[in-house]
Amino acid sequence: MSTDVAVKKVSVTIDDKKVEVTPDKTVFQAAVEAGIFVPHYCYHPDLSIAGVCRMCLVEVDNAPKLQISCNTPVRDGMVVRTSSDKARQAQKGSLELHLINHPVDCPICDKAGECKLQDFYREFGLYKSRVELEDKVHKPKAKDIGTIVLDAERCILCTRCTRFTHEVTHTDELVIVNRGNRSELKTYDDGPLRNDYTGNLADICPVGALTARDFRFQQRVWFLEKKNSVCTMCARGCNTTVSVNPKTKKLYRVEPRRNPEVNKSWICDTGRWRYHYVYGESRLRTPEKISDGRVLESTWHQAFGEMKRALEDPSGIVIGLSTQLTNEEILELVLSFKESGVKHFVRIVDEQVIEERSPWDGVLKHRDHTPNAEGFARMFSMMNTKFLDCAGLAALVGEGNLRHAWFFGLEGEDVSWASRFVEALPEGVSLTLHATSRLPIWERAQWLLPAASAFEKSGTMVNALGRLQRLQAAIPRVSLARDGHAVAFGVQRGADRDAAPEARHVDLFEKLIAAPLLGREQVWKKLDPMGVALKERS
Amino acid sequence: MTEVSSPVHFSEQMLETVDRLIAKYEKPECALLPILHLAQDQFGHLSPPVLNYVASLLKMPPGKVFDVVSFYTMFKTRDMGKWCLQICHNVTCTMMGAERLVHAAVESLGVGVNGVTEDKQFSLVTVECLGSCDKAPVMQVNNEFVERALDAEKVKNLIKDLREKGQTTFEEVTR
Ligand code: SF4
Ligand code: SF4
Ligand code: FES
Ligand code: FES
Repeated sequence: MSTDVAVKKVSVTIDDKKVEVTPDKTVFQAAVEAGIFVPHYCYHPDLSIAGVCRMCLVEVDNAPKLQISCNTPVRDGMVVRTSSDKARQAQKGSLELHLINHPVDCPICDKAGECKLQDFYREFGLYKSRVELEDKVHKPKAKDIGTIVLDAERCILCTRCTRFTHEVTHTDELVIVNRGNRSELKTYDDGPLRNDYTGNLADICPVGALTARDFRFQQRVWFLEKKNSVCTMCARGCNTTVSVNPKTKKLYRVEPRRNPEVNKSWICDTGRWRYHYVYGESRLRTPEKISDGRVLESTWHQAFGEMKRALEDPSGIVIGLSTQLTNEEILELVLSFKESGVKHFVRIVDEQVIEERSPWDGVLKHRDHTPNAEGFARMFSMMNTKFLDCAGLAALVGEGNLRHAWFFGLEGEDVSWASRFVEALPEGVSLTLHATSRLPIWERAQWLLPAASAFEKSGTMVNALGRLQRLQAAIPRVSLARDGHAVAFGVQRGADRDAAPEARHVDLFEKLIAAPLLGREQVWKKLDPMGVALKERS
Repeated sequence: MTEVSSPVHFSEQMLETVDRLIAKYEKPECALLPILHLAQDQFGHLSPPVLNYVASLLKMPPGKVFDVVSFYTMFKTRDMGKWCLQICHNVTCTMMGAERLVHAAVESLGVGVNGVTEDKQFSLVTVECLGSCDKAPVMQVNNEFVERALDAEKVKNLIKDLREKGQTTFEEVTR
């Protein structure tokens, strides 16, 4: 992005450390570049500067008073002290001011463990309180504002949340009313939040004032471990972390992972909270055979056996692949079925949105609810293979030779866009569906095979911006669910003895995918956690 | 002329004033304060429908209007009766005996601070510095200052006057 004509850098000394930064930077940003932490509440890299919390005060040589580093531009030769006695004293003072009316109810606060009041008190405070509890100003607690719970008493008025609803979602629901110590954060009409990105408010609130209803009191955060992944609920592919309790191996929350090229610090509420299908009632747990409307629990062994037998006449088989599959799964399935002589492949995608000219919602969301349509196209062109759309499938049906349709990788409970592919099949064609969930639209299938969810498998995907990103399994597969690799292996052998080797996706990525896509060798482990922008598809 | 759909409305003539006010500034929202005063004069107090109406006239998010209104004590967001007594309780006035004025008013009216009398004739609030510290303690009745050597006795008389005659010349009661 930056031009080659280098902007002349200025040199700043922060706590005896010299850094060279571009002149458009603030002292705070220069400190970040120098690896020096300055305490802050209101500053946020993806919001405008407010300069209201006064936590980031630092000493600047020659300036008579302390300066807020978040809003002080750098100057060449500037000397800054972030932890001199004077600066420390001021930071402590600001903190004390913030805590004057704070209820300090950490034991019953869900933010405890990731609260910046707690963190900074340990690091910069440690004074003895001069305020009696009964002298504090009290405000509403645990107020319902929709997806988020608001505890006005805990709010330190940093205005991150009001800036978010003003600058990011442009919905302006949150305001601070009144003045002085009666200032209070609320939704202006006391109604619920009305935007698709509310979960981010719980992330950016540095204290326990805004917490997400979905996560409240589910887990103390110090019991959780975070794994880097990407969201698969739409074609944006926002970067995420998935929090799992390593003891129970259960998934508790999905949060944004900052990537300025894709999602800044945000994700939408769908991406954050739709994961519940993973443990949902409708989740398929074992292979099921359906005959005469009766559902019989079956085994992978039997399913693979039947599929292998059907493969003896590959001309009667069509393979449908959801654009929710990873690049590696697509490659694996196509190569393996081609080897068995199958000729027809169908792309199962939301066809109504795939050709749309302005598919974005203005913030992040893409109208295509599948994550890998771009990767799908690249994999097929790499393999020099043609795929059919829904109309193509109908035409193929018209030829009259089709006996089996096997659709793979349908994920989630909201896949109504896929039903037209099922409807295109006449009665005489038997349908085998590899999906995460049992849905009414799958009713006509003869086999339902439990698919691993996006949280249970690893691989790469290419988002609608043309960025190659890495999906990483965060939880073990639920019951007998399998990913595309395991299924391809099983069908090949017609038996359930050899599941796919654990690191199959790594193998395929390193040997077959990396070089054609990236134009160079790439080790899976070292793939940039922020993804890599690919060259445009020709 | 600015036109919006709303359950409350300014008259044609007031809408012209609104347009004139808006034209005075670079951005419509700069005219917020004078237009809020206008709305308060017209509707008595600034209820949520009125605030939404003002927001739509100025093409501002309603939240911003609620925010501003809550900041200033001179804006009323509920029906405060015919006479709203506003006693300053900031530093100077407090030092000069504002509390005694509040007590006197509470006694005469039979309602506490922030209260409205049942007959909707009076309400009582305390406000921040009215900018007349040199004449402290001061009080304001609706938009009129009452700032001459005010004491408890005079507050009581003033209330009596207002109640009996329905009006008063403030100069007289405080002379
Ligand atoms: S609720 Fe949280 S984010 Fe919003 S102003 Fe208060 S402390 Fe800041
Ligand atoms: S915008 Fe799309 S990729 Fe991002 S969180 Fe939402 S659904 Fe997921
Ligand atoms: S971070 Fe600088 S004033 Fe809040
Ligand atoms: S303190 Fe009352 S007018 Fe200033």
